[in-house]
Amino acid sequence: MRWTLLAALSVLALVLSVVLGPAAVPLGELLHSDIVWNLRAPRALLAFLVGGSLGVAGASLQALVRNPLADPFLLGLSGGAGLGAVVAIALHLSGPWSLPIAAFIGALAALGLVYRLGLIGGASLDPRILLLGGVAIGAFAAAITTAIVSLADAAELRNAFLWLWGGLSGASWDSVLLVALYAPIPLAVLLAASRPLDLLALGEESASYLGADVERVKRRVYLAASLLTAAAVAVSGVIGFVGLVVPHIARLTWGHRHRSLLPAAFLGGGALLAFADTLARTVVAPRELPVGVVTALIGVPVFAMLLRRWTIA
Amino acid sequence: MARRPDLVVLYNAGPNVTAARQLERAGVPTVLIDLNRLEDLGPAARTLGRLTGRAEQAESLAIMLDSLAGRPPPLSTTSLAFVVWDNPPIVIGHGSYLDQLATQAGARNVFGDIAAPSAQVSLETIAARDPHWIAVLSDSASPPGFAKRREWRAVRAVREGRFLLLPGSWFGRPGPRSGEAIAQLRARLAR
Repeated sequence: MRWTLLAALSVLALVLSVVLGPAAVPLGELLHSDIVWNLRAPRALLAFLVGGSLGVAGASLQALVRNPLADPFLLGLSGGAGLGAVVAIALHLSGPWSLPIAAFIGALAALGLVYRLGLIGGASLDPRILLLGGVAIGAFAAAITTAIVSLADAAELRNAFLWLWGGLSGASWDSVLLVALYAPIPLAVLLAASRPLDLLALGEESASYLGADVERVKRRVYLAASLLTAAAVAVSGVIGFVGLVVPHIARLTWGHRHRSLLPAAFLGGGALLAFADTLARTVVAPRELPVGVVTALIGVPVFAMLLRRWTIA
Repeated sequence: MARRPDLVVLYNAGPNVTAARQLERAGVPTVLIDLNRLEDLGPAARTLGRLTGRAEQAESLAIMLDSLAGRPPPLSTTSLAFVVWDNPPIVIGHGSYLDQLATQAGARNVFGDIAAPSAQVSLETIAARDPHWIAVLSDSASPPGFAKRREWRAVRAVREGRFLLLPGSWFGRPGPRSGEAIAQLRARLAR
């Protein structure tokens, strides 16, 4: 029943994304409208894929670092992506894909540095160092980004921040195809790690006794979740709260078993972002709100409720 | 302060107000000038003329600049959208001097109903409002980068390559050249 409801919610979020928009498209013309086919449909699908990816990445990272506050962007990826995007603009790199590619490379560079820091104590990947390293690398990248922006003459660089705040304006069938081809690989890696992730909740030592190859799982989960987040940030900037809040909501219904939790986080994240994007496009039309503002407006009260629930418990 | 200027001219906004107070306290003559709309040009010219001892020349310039904002606009024969950023799309609204330039040049800004100087909008809103021209501040002769992006091809003016590439030195801010900018824009729209 709960899976049927979640599937229905996902379909509803996608349908609303396609039917509703700032431009008036009569229902009878939906199937023939250029606006629907070339703008709304790819945007709805990209929102769903990005939201789903962030949901799964968030759930996996929270399990990996055993910290409920872990967010896919806490590990320095947003800082690295931002630096990549700003460098691309400062170097006047042209081409329709220059910004997403530069952001992806920046996120990968941050991922590499944080991963290296995570191994600083030896061959074992330390989740606490990953978190601290992520915060430090993110802050360092953000500082360099701010320095470039403040020294630059071009107004374009200041506008790069708008891109970084997140949004799905750049959605096209090309970006949908790219994410649809790329995301299944890290998603499959994370889904395959469901059982070891369940065991990790018991502690590394216990997980190891119960047969999990802890080191291998930690590395795989960290790399797969980060690669998923890097792709999301490359096509849509930094959209906050989805990767933080959705896993917690999913846990309330599906519990802590990742075999169910990860698919639920994918559908829930996808539905939330598609719904938030529909609101962002329509509530103040003809203007548009940054979608990150909407996810924060939805996410913060939900998160506050969860915190209250935990405190009482 | 190390350069010992006779006068510091600052744009009247946010942090500049604090800076102006500090400079005044340090004994440096400072003036804050509003320069957002065409009607600000005349008063700005008079203020600067008075402060630089060229009040008479400034007055003749100010009369010409006052007439820019005051003259009745011609009937609009075409429409445009000023796109200042492509991802997310940010367009110029009624509150900007660029909207005034377009009106005075005989074009209707399709986002003239947005009161703010600029606003983020959906690409589908631009496509639905179907401007005849996409105006972009650019010193280059080639179309903007977003013209190649697949999602922007949903906008007819982009698909058909109808761009107005407006040089920043003329159109980037309101100033004494704004009269010339209006004439330039009118000539381009008539082509």
